[in-house]
Amino acid sequence: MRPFNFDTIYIDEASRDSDVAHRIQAAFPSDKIQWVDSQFMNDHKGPLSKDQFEWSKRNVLVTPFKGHFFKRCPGASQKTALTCCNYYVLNLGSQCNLNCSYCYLQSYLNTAIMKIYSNIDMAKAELLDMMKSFPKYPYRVGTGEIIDSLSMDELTLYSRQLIPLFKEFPHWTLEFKTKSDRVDQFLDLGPVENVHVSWSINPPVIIDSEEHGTARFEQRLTAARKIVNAGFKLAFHIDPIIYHEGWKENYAFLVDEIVRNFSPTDLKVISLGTLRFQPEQRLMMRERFGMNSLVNQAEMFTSDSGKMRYDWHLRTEMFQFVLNRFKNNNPAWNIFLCMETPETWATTLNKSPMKVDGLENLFRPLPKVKSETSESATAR
Amino acid sequence: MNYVLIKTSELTELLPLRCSYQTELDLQLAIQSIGLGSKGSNQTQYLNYGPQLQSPHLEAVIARFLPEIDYASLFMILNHEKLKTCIQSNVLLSHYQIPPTNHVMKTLERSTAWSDSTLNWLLQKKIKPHEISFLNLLSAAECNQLMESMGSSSLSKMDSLKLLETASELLLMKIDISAALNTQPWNEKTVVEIHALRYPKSFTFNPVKQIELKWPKNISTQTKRIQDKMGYQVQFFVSHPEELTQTLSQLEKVVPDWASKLEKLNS
Ligand code: SF4
Repeated sequence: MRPFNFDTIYIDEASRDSDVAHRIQAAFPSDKIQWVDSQFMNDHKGPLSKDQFEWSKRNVLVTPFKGHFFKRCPGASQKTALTCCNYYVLNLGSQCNLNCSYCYLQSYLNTAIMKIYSNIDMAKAELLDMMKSFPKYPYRVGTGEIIDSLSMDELTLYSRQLIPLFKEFPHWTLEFKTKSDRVDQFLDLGPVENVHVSWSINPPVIIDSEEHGTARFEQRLTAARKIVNAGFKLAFHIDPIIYHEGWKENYAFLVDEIVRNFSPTDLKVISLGTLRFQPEQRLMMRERFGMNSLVNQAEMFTSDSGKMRYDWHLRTEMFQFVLNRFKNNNPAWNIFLCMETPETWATTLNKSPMKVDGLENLFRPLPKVKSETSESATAR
Repeated sequence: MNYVLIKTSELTELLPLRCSYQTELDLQLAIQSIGLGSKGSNQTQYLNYGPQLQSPHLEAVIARFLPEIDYASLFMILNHEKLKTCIQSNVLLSHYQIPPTNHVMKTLERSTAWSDSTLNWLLQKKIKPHEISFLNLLSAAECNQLMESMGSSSLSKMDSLKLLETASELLLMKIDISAALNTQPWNEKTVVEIHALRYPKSFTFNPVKQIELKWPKNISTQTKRIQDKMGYQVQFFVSHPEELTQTLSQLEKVVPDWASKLEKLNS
C-alpha cells in the first residue's frame, strides 16, 4: 500500500470490530491512531474556517454512518434549472484527502473531520434491498460525491465489496469517480461490464496548478488503461473546464491525448462541465489558494441555479470547442454535458439530452429510493 | 453558572448607539414585550438574567431592543465583559440573520475602526457583515481605506458590493488601483473602471458586445446582462395585428445576419 498523509486516525469504539479498523491498525503505527467515543467532534456546527477545513483533510475518523447511504444526486433537485442525469450516490465517507482549489466540499461540508464509514454491510444491505426490488431498472450509482471513490480505497477495500454485488445486477451501474490512480486493489475482479471507473481529468497545466495531491495527468491515463485492460468500463469527466490563458491549446492537448490512448469503444461516456461553485465558496477559495489560482482568470456570474458560472457564451464556446475536437476525430465519441441548462444542450449538441443516442436511459424516470420517500414524507 | 445582573441604564450606556433605539424606555419596552421582568426603581432597574429564567433570553431582549444595530455595537456587545458570559454569539447573530463565522467576527472587530458615517452607510444599505467578509483578506489599513471611501458614495448596494469585491481582488493581485479610486465620491464610472482593470479581456468573451447588428428602425434595443447571460432587450410598439406581423417579419431578417456574424466570429 502506498503511504497516506494523515496526521491522526481516530477510530470510534463502535467501529472497533470493523474490517476497516483492523486494516488501519495493521497499516499504521499505533501512535497515529486514537480511540474515541461516538460523540467525538460531534459538536461542530456551521461552516468551517480555513484552518478547520485544512485540518479536516489531514485527520480522519472511522465511524459508523447513521442514516441512508443511498441517495439521489443533489443535481437532480435542481431540475428546473439544470439538466441532470439519473444519478444516485452511495456515500461511504465524507471529505476528501486530495485538495482541489475549486472543490465544492469547501462550501458544502460542515463536519470538521474527514470520515470513513465503517458499516459497509449496512450500505450493502440497503443497496441489495433496492436491487432486488428493481433489478431491471438502469440505476446508476456513484460513490464519489462527497469523497473521492478510490483515493483511500487501498485502505478500505470497499471496491472489493461492491463490485461482486453489482456483477449480480447487470442493469445497475456502479461508478467509481476519482482523481487518484489507486486501482490495483480490484483489477483482479474484472471483467465487469457494469462497473465504470471514471476520471475527472483536465490538462496537465490545470492538474499541476489546481488539483493538489491528485494523480498527475500521465498517471491518470496509465491507471485508466489498466481499467480498460481489466475489463471495466471507463469514463472521463472533463470537468471543471477552467478558463485560462491558452485554454484552447491545453484542452486540445487533453482531447488529443485521450483519442490517442483510447477508442470510443473503450469509453462509455465523456461528460463535460465548466467551472461552477456556490457564491459563498469564493472567500474560502481565495483564502486557501490565492488570486493566482487559475479559477480567478475569468469573471463568474450568478446563474439561475444560484451557482457562480462563466458567462453563457463563454461556456458554450468551451463546450463546442472540446466537443468538436472529439467529433472531428470520430463522431462515435459519446459526450454529454453535466449540470447544464437545456439551452446549452441545445446550442452545443443541437438536441435535448433525451434525444442523444445512448443517453436516453440516463434521463428516464426511475422509482424513488428509500431516502427520497422518507424525505418527502417528512416534508409533508 | 452564568448569572449576571445588568442595570438597564448600563445596557443603554454600553450601546453607544449609533442607532435610533437607545432610550431606557425602549429597553424597558423590549424587556416587557418578551415577558421578562425587571425590578428596582427607575434609577436602578436591573435586568435579571440567569439560567433559572428559562425564557426569554438576553439575546432576544437585545435584538428586540435594537432591531437594527451597527457592526461596531454588535461587536461591543459580543465582547462586553459581563454580557459575553451569558450571551451566545451564534444565537444573537442569528437574530440579525448573520452566520456566526470567524470571518464575520473579524469583520465586526475591524468595523470598530470605521467612522460613524461608514457604519451608518452599512446600516442604510442593509449590508450584512458576511457580505463584505472578503475584505478580511486585505490588510486592516487597505480595508479601512476602502470602507471609508465607500461610506461617502451614492452607489446602490449591488454596485457597492461589486466595487468593493473587485477592488479587493485587484489589491490582492497587487495591481495598482489608486488612479481609478482617486475620484471621489465613487460612482458608476468607478465601478466600470475597476471592472475593466480586473477583467481586461471580458469584452472578447462576449459576442453580444463584439457583433453589431442592424435592427429595424422602429425597434429599440439595448444590450443587457441578466445573471450569466448577456443579450439584447428588444422593445417595440404595435397597435394592430398587421403591424405586429410586419414587425416580426422585419425582426426575422435579423436572424441570418446575426447567425452569420456569429459564425464568422467563432471561426
Ligand atoms: S478530488 Fe474531488 S472531492 Fe477531492 S478535493 Fe478534488 S474536487 Fe474535492
